[in-house]
Amino acid sequence: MEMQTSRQVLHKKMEMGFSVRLHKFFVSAVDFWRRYKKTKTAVFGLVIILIFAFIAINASWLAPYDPYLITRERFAPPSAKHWLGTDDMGRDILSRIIYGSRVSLSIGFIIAALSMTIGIVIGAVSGYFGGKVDTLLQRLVEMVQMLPSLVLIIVVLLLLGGGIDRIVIIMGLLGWTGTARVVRAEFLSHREREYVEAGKALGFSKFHIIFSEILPAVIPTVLVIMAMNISGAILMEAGLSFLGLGDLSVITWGQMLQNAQRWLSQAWWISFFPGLAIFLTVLSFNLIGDGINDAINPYLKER
Amino acid sequence: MPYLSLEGVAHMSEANGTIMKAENVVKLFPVKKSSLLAALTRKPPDYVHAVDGVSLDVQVGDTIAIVGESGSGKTTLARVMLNLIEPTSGKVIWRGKDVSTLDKNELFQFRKDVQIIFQNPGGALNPRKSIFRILSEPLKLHFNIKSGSELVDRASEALLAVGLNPAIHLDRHPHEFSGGQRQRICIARALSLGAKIIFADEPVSSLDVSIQAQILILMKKLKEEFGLTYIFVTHDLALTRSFASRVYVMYLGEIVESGPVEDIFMEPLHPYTKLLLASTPVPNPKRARSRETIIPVGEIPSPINPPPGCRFHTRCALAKAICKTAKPVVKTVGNRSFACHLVN
Repeated sequence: MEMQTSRQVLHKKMEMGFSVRLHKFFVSAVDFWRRYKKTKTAVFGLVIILIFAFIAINASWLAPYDPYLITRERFAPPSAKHWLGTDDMGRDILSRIIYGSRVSLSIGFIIAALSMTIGIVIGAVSGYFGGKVDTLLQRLVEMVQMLPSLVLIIVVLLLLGGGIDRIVIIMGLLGWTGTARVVRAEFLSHREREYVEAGKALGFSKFHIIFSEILPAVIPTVLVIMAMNISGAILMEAGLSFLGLGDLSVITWGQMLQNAQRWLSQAWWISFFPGLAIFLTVLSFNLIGDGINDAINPYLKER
Repeated sequence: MPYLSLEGVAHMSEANGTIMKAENVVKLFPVKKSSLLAALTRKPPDYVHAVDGVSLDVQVGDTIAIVGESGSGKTTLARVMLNLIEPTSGKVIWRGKDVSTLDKNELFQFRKDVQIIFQNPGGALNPRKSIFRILSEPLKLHFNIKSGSELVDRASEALLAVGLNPAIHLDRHPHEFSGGQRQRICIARALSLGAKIIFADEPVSSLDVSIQAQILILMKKLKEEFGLTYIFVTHDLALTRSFASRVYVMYLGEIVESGPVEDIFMEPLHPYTKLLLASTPVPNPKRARSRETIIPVGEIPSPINPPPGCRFHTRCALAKAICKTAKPVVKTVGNRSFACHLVN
């Protein structure tokens, strides 16, 4: 009788699989946050990014003016009416920065997601299988790394025209090499561990061992690179726009900087505020990356 | 519901007799050349002779011990027999079939039937998974079970069989257990698949002595309950003596002597076996003083270029000229075998 009840309790417990897992996730998230918040700069970075994300999502009602609206108030310095001033066509800079955050942030995330996916798969396969597969994939990594990416992107954009989608795809296809290297190194160390050997003896498929046994252990490291990749992508897009290769149909911070070049000596605010936005975002993502790194390797920090 | 007693490979045609066999297994590992010069001169690569021509016979219900020093190739032999690495030459026969020629279905049967427990039970369990996941994933794979409650039942039964409490332990993670409990979980995982042949690679050497005894008693009990066959890989002679039924002594990738455990321990024939037995401490000081002492000469030689002739001659006190040149043939007397020029 007692046995029967404990069995029922057990079944109930396991059937609540989802809520149990959610609870465990919550517990580990709290634990992670406890270590993450020890790095004050990382908390600062996270706050900044959350603010920018909030701004980007709510751009349409946060922006005081229509960002495309051309007015007669050209070169108005920062004032109560236009907090960050206006540009050469009398457009409100604050509104343009608010709308620009949408494109700049999402570009960063999409490029990072694309390149991380490629990098994880190639790195995992390369590190797990080793031998000839590894040699071959590592030569591929070197070939991609060897390409002068800026020149290549410029050539492609000049040939195909500069659309935002093309920038994303090209940068995604070129930016995965660092991730691949790090993931490979992690897999090299994990594949010799006993739990992987045990998995093989249990008859698990290679796919299961790579993605279910080993990959979860690699994810924290991947998050660090992801933060760095996002900031790299934002900076790269800004650079391309600054060179005049951006997409003219959308507002991005790089685009605003490019436009501001000519008025650098007359109206400092046209270039200063978009530059500040880029600077803060990139800095914040790097700080977040450092914070994750310190949170997953607490011993490194104490030394 | 008693799942455990029902499982196991169905075609148990050999109720007794040979269940697994190694025939002349050789495993060489090439040594990586790092220098450019070596690559240019095209010198043939060096090999580590990890296992060099080993034959081994496992009977149903046996408890085999493969003993030897570190670096004697005993773990490599186990990995070859588990089909985790391919032998350079030679064959592993499992229930009459060569394991290198198994088709996909047979390989699944092999994986269910032949399991391993490791020296470091903490390392053998994925630290990120709960015990339920650790136990249920292999079950899902091998028995294609979809129902969650059947998985819970099967996992619970396996945990009960090794003396753990499923109601408490099922949703914990490996780091929440002691070493002995982790080893029990590893054993439970092997049992839940219905394994009949269990390789144990130094199963207790990372545990406290008191826990060692618990685990060994458990393994003995499970052996009787489920008709298991054990293959121990160990350097622990006391464990071998109390647990094994048949002993294989390995030295530098070769088996130098084999036979029933009482014979080997009462009357070792090969000088290396004598050396091994003489180097185990004896708890009785009077007996320790009176017993013959053999002082080993030097370390185990490198397996990269193993010595010619008898591999043990560099350390053997009795070595003659012939030992340095000719390889001793394996002589079989009754149910014992040995490879030494000086013993007949």
